[in-house]
Amino acid sequence: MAQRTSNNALIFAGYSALRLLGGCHFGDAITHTSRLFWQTAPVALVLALFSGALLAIQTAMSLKHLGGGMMGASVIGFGGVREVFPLLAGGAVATRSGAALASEMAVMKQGKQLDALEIMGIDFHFHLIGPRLLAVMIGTPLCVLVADIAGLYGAFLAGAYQLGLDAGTFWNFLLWPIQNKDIIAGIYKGIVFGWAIGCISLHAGLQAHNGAFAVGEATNKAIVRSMIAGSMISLAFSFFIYGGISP
Amino acid sequence: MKKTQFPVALDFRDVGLTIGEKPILQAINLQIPSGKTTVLLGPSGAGKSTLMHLGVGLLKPTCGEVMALGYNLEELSPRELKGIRRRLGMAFQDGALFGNMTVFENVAFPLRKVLRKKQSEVVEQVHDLLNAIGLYEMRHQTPDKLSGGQRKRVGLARALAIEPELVFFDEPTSGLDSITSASIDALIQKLQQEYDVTFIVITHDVHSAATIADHVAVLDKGQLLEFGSQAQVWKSENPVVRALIARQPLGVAG
Repeated sequence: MAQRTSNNALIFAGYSALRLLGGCHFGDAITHTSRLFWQTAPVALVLALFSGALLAIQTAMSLKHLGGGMMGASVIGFGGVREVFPLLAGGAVATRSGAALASEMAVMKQGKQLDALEIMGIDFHFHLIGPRLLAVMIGTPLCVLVADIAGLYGAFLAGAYQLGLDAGTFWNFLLWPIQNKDIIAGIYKGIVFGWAIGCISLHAGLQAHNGAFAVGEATNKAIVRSMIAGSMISLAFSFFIYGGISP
Repeated sequence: MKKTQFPVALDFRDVGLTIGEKPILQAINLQIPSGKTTVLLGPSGAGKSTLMHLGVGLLKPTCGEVMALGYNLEELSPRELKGIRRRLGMAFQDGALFGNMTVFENVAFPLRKVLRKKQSEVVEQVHDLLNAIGLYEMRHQTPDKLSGGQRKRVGLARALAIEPELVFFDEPTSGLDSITSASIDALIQKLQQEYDVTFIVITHDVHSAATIADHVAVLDKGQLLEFGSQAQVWKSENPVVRALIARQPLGVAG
């Protein structure tokens, strides 16, 4: 088997990013982005909707004992858009699309399709890696936006209909802490999540050995490593953007 | 199709390959002539596929030189190697077809991406190739709808699409019934005569080798045991070669 990728995921990630700067097959990238978004956005939506509702119930109920039930909405506004919903979107991308990327690469490697491309003299990064990586980097921030909206709406539904709080006031408390920079930070975070998930998943697939077990193992690695990377990236963003402590 | 201008299409000069501590190939000296069908014959694990991977530059030898179409593959830059590979074709064991493309698109892929031909030329050439392999009617099917033999045929058509000077076939008849194997052998013979290029066929199927080979190289345990015209090799005194040809367990032939 040709040594077409580094065994080191970090070197692969850096090299893939550099190659992406030099361009890729944009037609394929659009196709992959569309597929990723329509496959993953519903998952992100459902996850965020229910998580928003759960957060609303738990925060509002616990803060109610301290005399400020509506403050739960603001806590979700703060923490949800800045941390929880982007992380959920990243998780949805990792489990739905990252896993698919890893298994696709593993199957292509086992089926000698990667060798076929190489022997044809076709640029593997331009045609295969680049479009998929770009697709995850575009698709993930879009899923973050979907998760933000769904999470806030889930919290609103729970606050207004489950907890019986005043709908208009709850909505205002939910939105007032959110600033433009929080939304923009979420988009940037989505791009970095996407890059990490894409690189980790593609690398896991390309490193797979032969056999069905290896495909499962590659998929598993892609999901676990992407989730860990997502948490680390989220923490790093909190430090760099919010100085480590939310105001 | 372009005929190779070199009398020797692929030249292995004292080639050895060791992976970890394990020697995979040892001191292989083999000159594969142009414009003929050469069969690399040997039991499973003999090193045939590894030798093919060395021949296309997918692996680098631990020692020795591999000259493909007159070029030492180790001395080439990645760009030059890519250029040489565009003069080579490979038909993989299971076709290695792209699952998200139809039969037509699979064969058209190298014409579009490598040769960058116009759509009208692509259509004409793909139709010609599909007619040559007898699968024109299946052109709109995806690979998962094809049988093993049909996938191999499409892989063969895709390998020929870039008009290579040297074509490798990796186990073209493995896993096929005798009738389908015979039809693949006949197809290889027909295409070799039609396109007049160098074919290198890797197989452990002695019957297939007897049908298609001009020259035969016999490998076992990483060593080249015999090389010559089919008639010469079939008369070999080497007990392993004789056992292989007689399709007997190794060590039984007298």
